[in-house]
Amino acid sequence: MNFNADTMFPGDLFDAASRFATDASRRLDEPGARQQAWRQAVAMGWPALLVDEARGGAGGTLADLGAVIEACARQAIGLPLVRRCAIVPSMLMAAGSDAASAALRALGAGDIDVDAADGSGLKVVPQPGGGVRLEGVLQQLDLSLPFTHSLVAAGEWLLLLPAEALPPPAARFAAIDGSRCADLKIDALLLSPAAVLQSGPAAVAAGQAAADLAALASAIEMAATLGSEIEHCIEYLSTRVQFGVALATFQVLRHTVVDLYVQYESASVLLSRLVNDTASSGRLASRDASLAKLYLNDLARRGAEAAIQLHGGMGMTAELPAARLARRLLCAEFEYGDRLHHLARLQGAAAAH
Amino acid sequence: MTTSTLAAAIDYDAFRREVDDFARQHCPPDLRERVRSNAKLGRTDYATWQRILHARGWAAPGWPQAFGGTGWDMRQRYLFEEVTAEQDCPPQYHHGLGHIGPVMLHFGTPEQHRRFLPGILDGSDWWCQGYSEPGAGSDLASLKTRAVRAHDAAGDYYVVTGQKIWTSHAHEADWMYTLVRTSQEARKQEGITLLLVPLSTPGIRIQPIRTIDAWHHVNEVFLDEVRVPVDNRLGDEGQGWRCAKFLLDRERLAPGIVLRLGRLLQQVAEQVSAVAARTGTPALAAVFAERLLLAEAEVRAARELLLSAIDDDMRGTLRAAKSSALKLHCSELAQRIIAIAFDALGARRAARFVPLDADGHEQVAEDAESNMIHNYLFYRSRTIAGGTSEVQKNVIARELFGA
Repeated sequence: MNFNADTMFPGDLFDAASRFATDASRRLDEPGARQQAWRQAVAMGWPALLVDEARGGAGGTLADLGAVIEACARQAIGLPLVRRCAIVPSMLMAAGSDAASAALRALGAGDIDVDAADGSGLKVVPQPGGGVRLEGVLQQLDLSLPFTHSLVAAGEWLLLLPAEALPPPAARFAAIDGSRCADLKIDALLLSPAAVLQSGPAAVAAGQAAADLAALASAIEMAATLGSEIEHCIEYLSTRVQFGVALATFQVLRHTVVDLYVQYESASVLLSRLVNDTASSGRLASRDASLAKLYLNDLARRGAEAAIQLHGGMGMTAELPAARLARRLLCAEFEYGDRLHHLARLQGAAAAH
Repeated sequence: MTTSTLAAAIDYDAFRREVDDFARQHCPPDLRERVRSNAKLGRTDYATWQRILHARGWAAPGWPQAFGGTGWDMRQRYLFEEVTAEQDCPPQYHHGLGHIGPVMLHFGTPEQHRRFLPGILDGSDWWCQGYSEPGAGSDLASLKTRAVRAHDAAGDYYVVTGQKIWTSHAHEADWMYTLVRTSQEARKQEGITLLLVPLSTPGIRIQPIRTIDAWHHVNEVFLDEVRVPVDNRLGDEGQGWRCAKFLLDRERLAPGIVLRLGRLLQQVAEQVSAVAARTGTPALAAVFAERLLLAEAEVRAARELLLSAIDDDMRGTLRAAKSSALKLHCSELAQRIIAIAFDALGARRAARFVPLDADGHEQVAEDAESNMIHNYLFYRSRTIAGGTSEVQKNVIARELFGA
């Protein structure tokens, strides 16, 4: 292979995560492989990577998280890193309550395994004594990996739902990228006060901080996937022979790859900068996060479509690694805010400004 | 903003304020207004600003101090470009300072430094580039303008005959640096020599080329047995291609081009808002919002790409693919940005592009709206001049595919 995408977050952690992800990608077809990979990720402390050391975490930086996400995205191994390693710890840290701190310590100690879930379809009704009653739908839960709790931001509430309290799925789905999810119909689910981590403006702020980080982390995942996709395209075009010559000799195909490369270079340096600036300033501006996600959503779609086209009929085959990356790109575009979501946010911000 | 090679001792915030104060106080308001409205700038505009910068000791931000430059590091150069763009100061005229000047520093003799550098620094000498020919555009090495060595009582000289095309600013320049063929070699990149030609020399005829943007930028330059002293040769005979490559490699890392994209985007956004207000259609702004936001992200990416390329360059690890990627990204982005203005203004301005007087003669309109339309058309050249996008893509592809 002639081309290797420049790494956004180089270092020992990226190298270690790359070795892990490469190994995991070779076993993807084996039964239980994804579960095994996630157990390893937990053993390496990734869910508590962003948690400070005082609360049992690794005290890692945003660049560390970027390195892990980048390395795994390059292999499209489908681990829930954005949800479990970005959203969960950031939401718990931003919540600022004793209950959230206790949950962080339990996370750091490996006593609980927390997934984040979309609570936008839930109605939360306060109950006498401090508990709440839930009605509605808990959307797109990943039930294929074990978890002890589900962390949910629902309006002005931040809730930690014990897994055993959740009903069986009302509907199950396979996503474009092959991952599995389920919608759960919640009917008068009563939660004790211990499940309420925060409420009111502080809960909204914690949800927003986590959403911003998720948008940035998702953008990093998409950029890394795109970089890997370019490598696959070059490899394929260099080896596939048609009309007696390698496809890589056709200028029109080469130029399509160059377009992808320029997009990757531009996006990757932008994201590196955003992560470094966030580390320096200690805060991630919502506008920056949304702008990065809007940008990568656009590049991801174009990258996926081009990669499929460059591979010809092979690009349509589900198991080809390049097609797996393309499917991941198409799916990721709609996670943590699609084009319309971030456009509306950015326009709202502009109007407020 | 950081680069890995920054010196800690420089107070960059103070430097930024110093440049900002200077730009506000010393760049003439009428000139800033012309830049703000994206008017076509000419020699008078550029030279005015260059004289002001020269008097301040800031004539050549990219040159070493020993040759009259500022000796600034890359971060200072970046800040200077960023602040002067924000304050609507003109860019510095690039053919002298950015192009032939650095080639002279590298390949020129001390005598040539003495002769040519002061005029570039104070803006009194104006240079243009005689590279392309009718049969040598992207394939520049196919150039045919020939220079034959001769000698008489006055000394050694070349007799130059041929034709140059797309020569920007030739109509207002004093000098042309030009590539000529001094011998026929098996490899066409050999046998090329770089000559410095006074445009007042007998045998030179300059003819304007009318372009779609209705501005006068480019010319044809005809050379008919033009006598050029051998002392006006830069580098050795046959070394011209090396000089040209040296120039092109530097050209792609010019911070000014990148940092002015952000200002252009602001101006385009203002035009969109103005059209929405004028036509009473606030929804118009929403229609363009996504393109403006994506362009903002791309402008930020362009800045980071520039900084990353500069870092690589200072470490000696800059790949041709990256500098070509920067040129490609910026030139296509500039087109995308100006196209937003074109879409917003086209309904009113496409049919009312150039005002005419009662006799049907074209008049000059310099309002900001009109300039956007001129620039939309002019910016078509962004992906053609200085190496077409297709040539850049070929350069990158060779590196990506290893062949």
